[in-house]
Amino acid sequence: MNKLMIVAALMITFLLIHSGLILREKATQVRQEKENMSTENIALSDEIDEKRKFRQSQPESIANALTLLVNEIKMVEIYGGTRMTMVFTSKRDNADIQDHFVDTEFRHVKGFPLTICVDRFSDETDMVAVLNDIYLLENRTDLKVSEISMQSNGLIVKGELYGI
Amino acid sequence: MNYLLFNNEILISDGQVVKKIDQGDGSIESFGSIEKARVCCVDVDVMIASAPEDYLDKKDNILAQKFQDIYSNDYITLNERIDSNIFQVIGIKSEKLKEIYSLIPSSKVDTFLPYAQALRSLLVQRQVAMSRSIIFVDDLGQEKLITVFDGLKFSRTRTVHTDKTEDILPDIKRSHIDFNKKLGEFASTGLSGDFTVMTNSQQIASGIKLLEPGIAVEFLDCTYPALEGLKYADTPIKYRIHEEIIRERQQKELRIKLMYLMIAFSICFGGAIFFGYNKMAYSSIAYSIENDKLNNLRLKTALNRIDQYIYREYLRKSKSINYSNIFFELSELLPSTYEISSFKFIEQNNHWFLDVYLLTQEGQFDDGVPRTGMLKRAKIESFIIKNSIGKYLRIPL
Repeated sequence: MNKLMIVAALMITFLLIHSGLILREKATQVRQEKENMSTENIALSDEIDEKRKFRQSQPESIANALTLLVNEIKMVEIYGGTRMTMVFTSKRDNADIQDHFVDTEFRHVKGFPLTICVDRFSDETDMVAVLNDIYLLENRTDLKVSEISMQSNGLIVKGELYGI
Repeated sequence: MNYLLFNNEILISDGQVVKKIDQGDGSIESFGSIEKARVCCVDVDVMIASAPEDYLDKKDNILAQKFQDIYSNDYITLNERIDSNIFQVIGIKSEKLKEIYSLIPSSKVDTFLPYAQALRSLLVQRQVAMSRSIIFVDDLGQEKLITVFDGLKFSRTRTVHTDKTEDILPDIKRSHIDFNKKLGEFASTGLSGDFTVMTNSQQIASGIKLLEPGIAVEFLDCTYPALEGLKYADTPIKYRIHEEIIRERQQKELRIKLMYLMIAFSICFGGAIFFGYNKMAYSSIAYSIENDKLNNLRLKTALNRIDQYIYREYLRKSKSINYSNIFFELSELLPSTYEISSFKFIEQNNHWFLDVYLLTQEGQFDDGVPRTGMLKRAKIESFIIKNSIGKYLRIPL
């Protein structure tokens, strides 16, 4: 009976120690997770502080941004004389417009990759004027140009249209 | 310390004064004042038996069983070693023992011996040679107690109620014969029919000398030799009743059980402490990380909102390159011998570059690209294509 009591106590103690070790291991994992999260929180706070320095303005939906871009292209075509064709280059299928979006460096701000092809023009075309039209187009809309290349008398503008 | 002799009457001594108490006497209640006592009892039975002495429990059981085989009543026994594997077993009836302990509680009794053993202690103390056969006649007034000693062995004490020596003498002889018979094979070597009578009565000593001049008689000057012997019987030997033994055993078992319980509890407690400590540590860190998670969610929500409200400003600031001005400036810097074959504005890691391929016009010399304006930091490489010399420029903007 007495020995049974000791054996039972040892078994209970073994279970307690085993459970304790599992908890200790969990605590170590959670502690590591907490350290990572604290570091992330500090980085987020710093990022927020940094971004608060920017002037804030009302965000625009990507549909509105796209409409504005199309209108601006028409304006450039009418008044600048530069003919442009807009091509959505990221996906071939149009099943879901969401598939076209890519991540930007801003949270919940969508990037809509697109290419604007400036129609073939002759050697006499004023390249400065064409580039100026693209500059105006970029500044009046939420388009961010990442590449402008001219090859074989064709001008390709690649960029992303931003919106929420 | 008090010394008590239980016979038909009780003798009680405080070490100096001896009182006689009848069991029917009311003075028995005075036992209640006794703090500690050494007790001897006349009414015991004795036998000599053999048993293996190497195993104590086995030995005690064998001796008790042998005693029980001879004396059928309920006895409590003690034994003392006489020789190798030979023991003297002294039994007292449990009824008698209970009766004595009803008068004086067991807890107050230091030593409980047979009368003969107490007497033997005195003889040893008085340096009486015990190697011979001694018959001791204890004169207690109306009663005469006759005990035979053979070395350490002793007989059952015989009680004689007479004052006449001639009546005592036959009992002395009979006691000696009975004892020798009883000892049988266990009798000391060289034991003969001779014996010495020892008595504490001057009258009995001189009477025996007169009646049987051949018998050696010695006088021991001690009125109550057993009570005196108890003073020198410094031994923890004590008869105990079954109930007390059982109670003590139960208490011992309880103590052992408690000890095991404490050990078991201590083991569990150690485990519980370890578990509790880790549980608290885990709970604390888990609670703490919950706060961090909430904070993280709050920060992400805030950042999300800020991102949505500043991205247009960011776009505005990042659109600081005026492609037309740069292209115009480049056109102005390049010598007329070159024509721009192709160009590319490209953003890499938040830095803009302008890559330009130049070809020399037909029939013109390669004048080289001037290192002025934006071309100061330009990377310039030459190449040949279609028999024309060309230049590749990478201009950081």
